[in-house]
Amino acid sequence: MASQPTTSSEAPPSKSSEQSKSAESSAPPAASSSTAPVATATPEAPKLSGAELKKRAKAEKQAKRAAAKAGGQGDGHPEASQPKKDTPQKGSQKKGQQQPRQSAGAQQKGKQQSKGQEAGAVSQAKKEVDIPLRAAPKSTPDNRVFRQFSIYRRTSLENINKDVHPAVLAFGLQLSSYQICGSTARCIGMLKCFKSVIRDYTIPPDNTLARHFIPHCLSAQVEYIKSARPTSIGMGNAIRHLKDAIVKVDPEMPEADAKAHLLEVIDTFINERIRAADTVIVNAAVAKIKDGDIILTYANSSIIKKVLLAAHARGKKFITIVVDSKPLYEGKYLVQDLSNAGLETEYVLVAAIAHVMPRATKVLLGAHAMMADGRLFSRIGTAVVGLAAHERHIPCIVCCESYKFTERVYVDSYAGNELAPSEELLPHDSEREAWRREMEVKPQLQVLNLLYDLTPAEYVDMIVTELGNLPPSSVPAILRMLEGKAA
Amino acid sequence: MPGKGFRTPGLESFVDNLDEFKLERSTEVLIQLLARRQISGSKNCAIAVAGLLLRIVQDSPANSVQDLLDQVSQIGQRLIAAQPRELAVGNIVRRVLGLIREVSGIGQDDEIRSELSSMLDGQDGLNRPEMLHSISTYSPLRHAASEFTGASTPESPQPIKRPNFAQSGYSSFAMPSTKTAMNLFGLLAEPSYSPTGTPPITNRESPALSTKNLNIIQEQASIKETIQEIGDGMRELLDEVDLAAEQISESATDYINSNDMIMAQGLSDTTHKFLAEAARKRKFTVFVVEGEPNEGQATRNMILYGSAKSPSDDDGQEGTTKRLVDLGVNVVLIPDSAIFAIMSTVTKVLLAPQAVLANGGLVANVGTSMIAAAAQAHKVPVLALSGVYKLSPLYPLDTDELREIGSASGLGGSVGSWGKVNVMNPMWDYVEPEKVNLYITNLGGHAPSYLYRIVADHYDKEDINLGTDM
Repeated sequence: MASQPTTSSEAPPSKSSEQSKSAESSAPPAASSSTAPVATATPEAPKLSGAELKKRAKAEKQAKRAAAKAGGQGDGHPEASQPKKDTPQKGSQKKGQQQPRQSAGAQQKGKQQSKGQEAGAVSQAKKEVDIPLRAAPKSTPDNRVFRQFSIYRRTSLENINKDVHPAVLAFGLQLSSYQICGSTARCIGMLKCFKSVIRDYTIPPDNTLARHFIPHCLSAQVEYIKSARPTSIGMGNAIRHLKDAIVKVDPEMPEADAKAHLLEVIDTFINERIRAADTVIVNAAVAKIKDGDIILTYANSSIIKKVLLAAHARGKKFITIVVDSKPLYEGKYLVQDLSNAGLETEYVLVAAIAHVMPRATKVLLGAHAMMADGRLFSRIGTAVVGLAAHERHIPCIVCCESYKFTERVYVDSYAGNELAPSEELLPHDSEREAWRREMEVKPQLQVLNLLYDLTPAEYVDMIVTELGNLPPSSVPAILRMLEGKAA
Repeated sequence: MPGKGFRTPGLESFVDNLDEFKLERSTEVLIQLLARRQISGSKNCAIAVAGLLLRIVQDSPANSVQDLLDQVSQIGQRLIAAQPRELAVGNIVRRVLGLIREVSGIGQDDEIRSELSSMLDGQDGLNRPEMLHSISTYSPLRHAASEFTGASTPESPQPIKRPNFAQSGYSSFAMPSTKTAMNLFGLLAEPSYSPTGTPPITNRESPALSTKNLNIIQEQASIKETIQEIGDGMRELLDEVDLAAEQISESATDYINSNDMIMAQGLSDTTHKFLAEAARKRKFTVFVVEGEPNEGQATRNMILYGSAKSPSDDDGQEGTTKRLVDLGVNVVLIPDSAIFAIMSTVTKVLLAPQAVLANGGLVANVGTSMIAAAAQAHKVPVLALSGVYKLSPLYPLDTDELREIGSASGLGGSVGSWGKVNVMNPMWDYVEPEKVNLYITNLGGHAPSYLYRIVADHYDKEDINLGTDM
């Protein structure tokens, strides 16, 4: 799948709806030869006009709804894939083209239709990539408890927007298989992919990078990454930072310089906000570790691993207790790295927390994000560890880079959470099969595989960031400071 | 077992073969089964021990009740030593001993006992509730009663023989010490009868000297009837253990409301019956906590198949129990790590303890203490379901004693190569009584602070130190 624009893109307009046609008419004809989104990779599909396509998609959606109501939800997969093959591209393309719609004619209708089509297209896209245990709409009233979550997880390479860069494709697969796991790793991985995208990007003539890149290129990459796994809050902040830099690019700047500038922006972000920040945090946290400490940590936080290895390298003598949980068992990787570096390590599952916590002298936790009210958003199970430490008056220290701070406030563990596929909680294939069959038949049976939880601010005693050590109540102060810097 | 084919050693095979083999052999077999945990779980252990003791009592060669007590006590101590942390074993042994004492006391001193009990009831300022006679009643008179059953009971305390009212003043002095909660060391439990005991000596001597031989003959005749009654009592005990789960579930609709979001710690037999009973009249959601690594498989099987073993297991059978999902309950399986995250939407927590202690605390599968802690943090009521047979008269003076480490190989295998790592898999958690709101037993609902009373009702204080070297 080439990221280079196809020159035969006269064909795509027939697949697009009115909007893309009008967009392309407003942009010069050469637009088609540039990185204008190409609709499909299947040239043999019949060429319908935009209106007919729209009608067909609507009819299909209604038929699907009617069929679902009538109780036949299991048949969605095979039939849906055939006639709806072109709509997912349209759907993702739709999203990418939201912004420049303003210039297009008939935009009201377009917006409405695109929203509806988008929903239809996305849900159809959900069905097409056949991941078992998919939450296909049930005919019975949906009394599943956590239906606000979509557990769509792309694991194959079918029907992907042609604009997705191969580096991003590979990254997406690594994300959904948890090969790249952990908020820092994901953020750095994503930014590196974006560097490749920028390098391979060419600005279409009569267009500016500031206006063209985001909607026509970057958004497709981001959408694809989100379809592999929902982006973390840190990744969202990084994307926003990048977008800010993009829109500020001077239109007069030559392309090479503009691209170099953006690459530098990304590099600076990685070096300053992540790597240098980590160094500062490690130094500050190591200072808190004394000889004879028994440090308890949860799952596998990259920054905590750095802290522990650094402390060990500086000759401190301490014991580490790694607490782990299903389904990812990330703690095992941490134990492997620590024990092979010579640290004295212990390993338990989170259920045994009451047995190990009384021995611990400190708890070190990593973070996925810090909320503005001081709540810690981190791997599920962290709240259990925080509660156990709080009960026994054991200090709980969180190490978190400032780019993970967010002005949002979640009041419970559901908002902003991510639901992983249920099968990951079930250990053996035979069991997975049995549960899958049962859950299709019985909607009352559910498996909840949340990935994050929210630890109350009172369970966190100190946050170590590159901007200093602070109590959880000071998170808004950091946010203002960062805002001031950016301005 | 020749001629029977291979049967997995366990409760069923033990109970089936109980009648065939000699007592000694059966005792040895049970001790082995307990030590190897081939019988595990408080209900199974209770049934096995009760079954064995029933046979022992029925076939006992004892001539006197005291001999019978000694025999049962010795065997009981060996059983307890086989699996000291399975408190149900000790509970049943103590119940049997108490039953023997009670039965052998019945019919001997009814009039004196009732007279004294009315006197004593009137004396103390506390309002003691009416106690059922059929359930072993606790009263200091038991010691008086046991005096008459055996000619030789030198270690029993002096009986309260207060034929006249004038001495009742002393009785109230003695009373408070007898009603103090019993503890492991029995320090406070021994009533000091000496301030009251002036007449006893004179009263005792005459019957002993003149009718000693007569007593022995009488005992031998009555021992057979006593054993009959003891046997009946023990069958009742077995029934109680068997039916505990059902009796507990009878009150289910009192505690579960419509649209409740209940968090269940695992899905034990008792919990399952409780929820199934409630499901007949209520629609609710249950979050079942998996309980890895020890209970995870059983919990998942319980949800999916209705029994703790899947049909593909050797001794699994096709589930005759209706699963909760079939009864219209929304069942959501959650891992242990999700407990705090979910707790904000949970309205009740159901615990299934393995053992309950006399202070109101409980011992349950590992992970339960954090469920209770999270519930307390969110102010969610915690209900513990347990039959009275699980209630032990022991106090957890050292919770470390309750710790038991299981096999660490169940921890999912290691990733890559590990250096020297200490992997631990504790099996049980202790939950303090402050974290439990209510115990739902086959005798009804009780606050944790009241459990000492139920302990007092069911166990004799002499039996508490059984098998423990204190």
